[in-house]
Amino acid sequence: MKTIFYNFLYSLIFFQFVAPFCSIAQSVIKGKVTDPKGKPVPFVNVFVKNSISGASTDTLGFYQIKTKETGNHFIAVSAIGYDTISAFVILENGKEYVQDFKLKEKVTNLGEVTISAGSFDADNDRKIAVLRPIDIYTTASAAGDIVGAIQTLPGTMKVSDQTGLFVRGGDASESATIVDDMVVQDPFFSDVPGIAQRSRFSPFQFKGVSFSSGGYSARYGQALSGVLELNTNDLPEKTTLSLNLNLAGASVSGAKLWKNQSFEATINYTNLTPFYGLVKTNYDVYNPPIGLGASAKWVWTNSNHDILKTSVNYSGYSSGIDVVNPEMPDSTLQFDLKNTYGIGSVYYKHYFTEKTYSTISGSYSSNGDNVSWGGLPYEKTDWRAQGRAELLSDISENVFGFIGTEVQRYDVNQTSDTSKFAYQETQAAAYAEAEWKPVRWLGIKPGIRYEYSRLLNRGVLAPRLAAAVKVSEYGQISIAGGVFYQNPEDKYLLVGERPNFQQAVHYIANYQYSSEDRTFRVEGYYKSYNQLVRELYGTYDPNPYRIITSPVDNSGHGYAQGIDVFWKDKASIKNLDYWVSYSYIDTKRLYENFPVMATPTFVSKNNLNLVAKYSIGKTGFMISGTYSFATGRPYYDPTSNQFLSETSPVYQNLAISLNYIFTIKKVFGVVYISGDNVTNYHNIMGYRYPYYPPYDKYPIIPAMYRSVFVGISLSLTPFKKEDL
Amino acid sequence: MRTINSRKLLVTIVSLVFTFGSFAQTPEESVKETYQAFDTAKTYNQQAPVVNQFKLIATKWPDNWLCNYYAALSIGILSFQEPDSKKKDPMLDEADTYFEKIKTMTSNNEEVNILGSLLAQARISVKSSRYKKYGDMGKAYLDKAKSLNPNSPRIYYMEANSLYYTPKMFGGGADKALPLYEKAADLFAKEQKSDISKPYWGNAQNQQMINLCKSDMQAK
Repeated sequence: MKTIFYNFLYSLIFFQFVAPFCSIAQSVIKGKVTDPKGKPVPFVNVFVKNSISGASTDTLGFYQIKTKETGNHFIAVSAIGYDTISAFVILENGKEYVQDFKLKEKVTNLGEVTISAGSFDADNDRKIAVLRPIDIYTTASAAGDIVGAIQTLPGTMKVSDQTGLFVRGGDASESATIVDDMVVQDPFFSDVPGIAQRSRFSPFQFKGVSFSSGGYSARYGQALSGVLELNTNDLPEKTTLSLNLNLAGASVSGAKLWKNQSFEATINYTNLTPFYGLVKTNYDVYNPPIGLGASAKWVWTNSNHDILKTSVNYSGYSSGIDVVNPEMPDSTLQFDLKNTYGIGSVYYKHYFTEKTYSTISGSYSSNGDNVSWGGLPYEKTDWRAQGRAELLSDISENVFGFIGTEVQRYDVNQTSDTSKFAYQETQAAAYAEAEWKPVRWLGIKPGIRYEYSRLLNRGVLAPRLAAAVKVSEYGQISIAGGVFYQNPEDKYLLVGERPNFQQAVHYIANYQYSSEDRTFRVEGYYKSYNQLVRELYGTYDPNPYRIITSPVDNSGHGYAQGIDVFWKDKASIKNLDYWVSYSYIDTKRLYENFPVMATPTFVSKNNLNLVAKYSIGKTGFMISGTYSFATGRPYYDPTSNQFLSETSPVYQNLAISLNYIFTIKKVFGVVYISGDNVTNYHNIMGYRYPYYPPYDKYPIIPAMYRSVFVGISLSLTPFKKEDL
Repeated sequence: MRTINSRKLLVTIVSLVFTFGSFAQTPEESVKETYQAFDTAKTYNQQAPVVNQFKLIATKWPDNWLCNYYAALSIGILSFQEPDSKKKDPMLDEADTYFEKIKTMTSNNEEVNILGSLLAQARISVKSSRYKKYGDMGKAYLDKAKSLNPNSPRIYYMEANSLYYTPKMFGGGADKALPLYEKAADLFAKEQKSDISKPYWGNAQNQQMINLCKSDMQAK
């Protein structure tokens, strides 16, 4: 009874106080919202502007607003991806209004354009980067060498019998390696005849890698073909201690992080005896490389984002390998090498205002090779001191510009028991460059560089220009070009020759489509080489170690043209990340001791690389593979009547590696096992002939065919997913 | 019986006041009204209209801390459930416009920082490769929140979420997250749940995660 009474009272109150207001003091607006194709749009907001009266459309697109607003009002619809539209209505209480809305798609804001012709950037900080540093570190055929990974990108080729980075028809001297704005004099381990050496850089030390295969910035010079730009990490993530053990040796490194500073140190011991014990080599490695190295780095920052980085690095090693005698390919010689290398560098970045900052950097490096060339002693030492200062600024909303200057001072000495060669060089350069984006979809980057060489006693002006235009949400067209100068090679400068600078002019254009998961890129280029050093007398000698006896001039010239195609995809198949890179190059040059124009011996016309990485769910296993294919390279046949017309067989290599990530208590680890040339394909890179009959040809073969490498890395702090 | 009827009467009178009051509602009242629906909404279909209502309120009172806070918070929570992944980033961009306003208004408020970490986590859930940038950002927000008020249970709820979704081999997983959820649960129990301007959301979601962790750990 009491229940009934209270229920009655309840409903009485409700109807008496609420109902009258419900029916009189409001109006109703209703309707349907559809998209441009006529389909209903659910869960979008329809509202009376400047009030809180509103409603959401249901799953069929219908809405109903009850409002107490009266008078002139706008009813509006706002939905993501569509323009907000509104309708005018005069509201009166007690009335019902019907208002349907047909939405219009919003024109997508074109993202910002980035100038990309001729360059690949791998940067942790950029939202859409073609590559990230981990892509480079986990490439199977690279064996943890940055240059090895760069060689799977378009525009480069792997040359197993020569050390260096070979870019678009240019030889190893035509590429420069820069670390933290400093030119690296000796980026690779010391040259061993016929066996390409890896770079000195260890993985994980860089936060950004930028590889330019042409048309590079006015900031750099002295490279006719390309620049590999590496930027080291700033502060480490946290205090860590890590250990590496593998068939090449062991290393321990630690990093201590304070609030604004960090100190990192590494000691490494190299001993390739276990590796050469396991792997079958084509040459006798009677003294596997053994060495010791240490490095230390101190980084300081402040709340202004200024940063000071100082580092020192020292390494020494010795090795002994039986190599094919470059002068007499039918015999070998014992090549003993002792190397010491040290480098110290400083980098300071200071912000004057939020938009303007300067960088000052300097470094000193010294390299010494003590060689016994089949019993004959030979010593090569070089040192380099350099400094650079730049002022950079966001001059206005659309313009970013910088000016800078650099000074390079270096000495190269070569001594054998019969001769002594040396030269000293001082180079100075000044440069300026600006990046102007008048609208979000167009970017223009003009640059100018003045270079002076004291040794050659000449100065030159090198203009550069790059531009890009965005053609769709993810697509853009880019061009780049410029004039590039380079000193003649050491072998000419050491014997006292002083020809003019060598020169290359680049014309590059590309189309790039890149979303967060996929990139497609096609790039065409034409390089014209001029003023190349040419030996005036003498017959052709393929031996790269010959002493130059002929006078020289700059009458050499050549061209390189081609197309590179690149496709990267990490979304189509779950957990699979792969890229395909294909390069076609047609190049000929008349230089050095070439009798006629010909394609040089380090060039393969077609290069194909397939790189794939697959993570097996949450197991911690990752498998990656690289397949490389290249058509044959020219070689010199003295019995042929056409110079450098014979080509070697095709080159093929399949590398596979397996990583396993695990944790045991607080220790995180990676175990890796990788195989190079797993099919044991017997690659032949060309042939050499002796100087006397019978003119039997000897194949140029790599140091080893199938090889395997095993290692483990342990860290006392968690790896970030990106590090692996 | 008497109690039930009194309560019904009380509820009716209270809701009467609100219907009355919607003539000239304060922002706090509008938010509180929508908050009831927000608290009980579970599915996407239930949440989306609530989010739209919060956005309207924030548009009407654009300088009010509370309105902007709940607009950003509700959009952030909805983004996790949004079926169309292309819409998630634009939604979070919209949430950011409300969040940016309150960042400058009450920069010391620990709940603003916790909201910042939720929006950062939402960005990671759109694309896991953003782990580095937004993971660090979210952690910085939670550290700031801890320094302002280490007793807010939502700090530990957010930390636990981050751990729960981190793969086990990188130091995460249900067993690592559970103690933090339980710590949050203790703090939720002690919290006052009456003043809308002192946010108290998250208890139900926290409890759900505790159950999820326990069943994950049993399944091993």
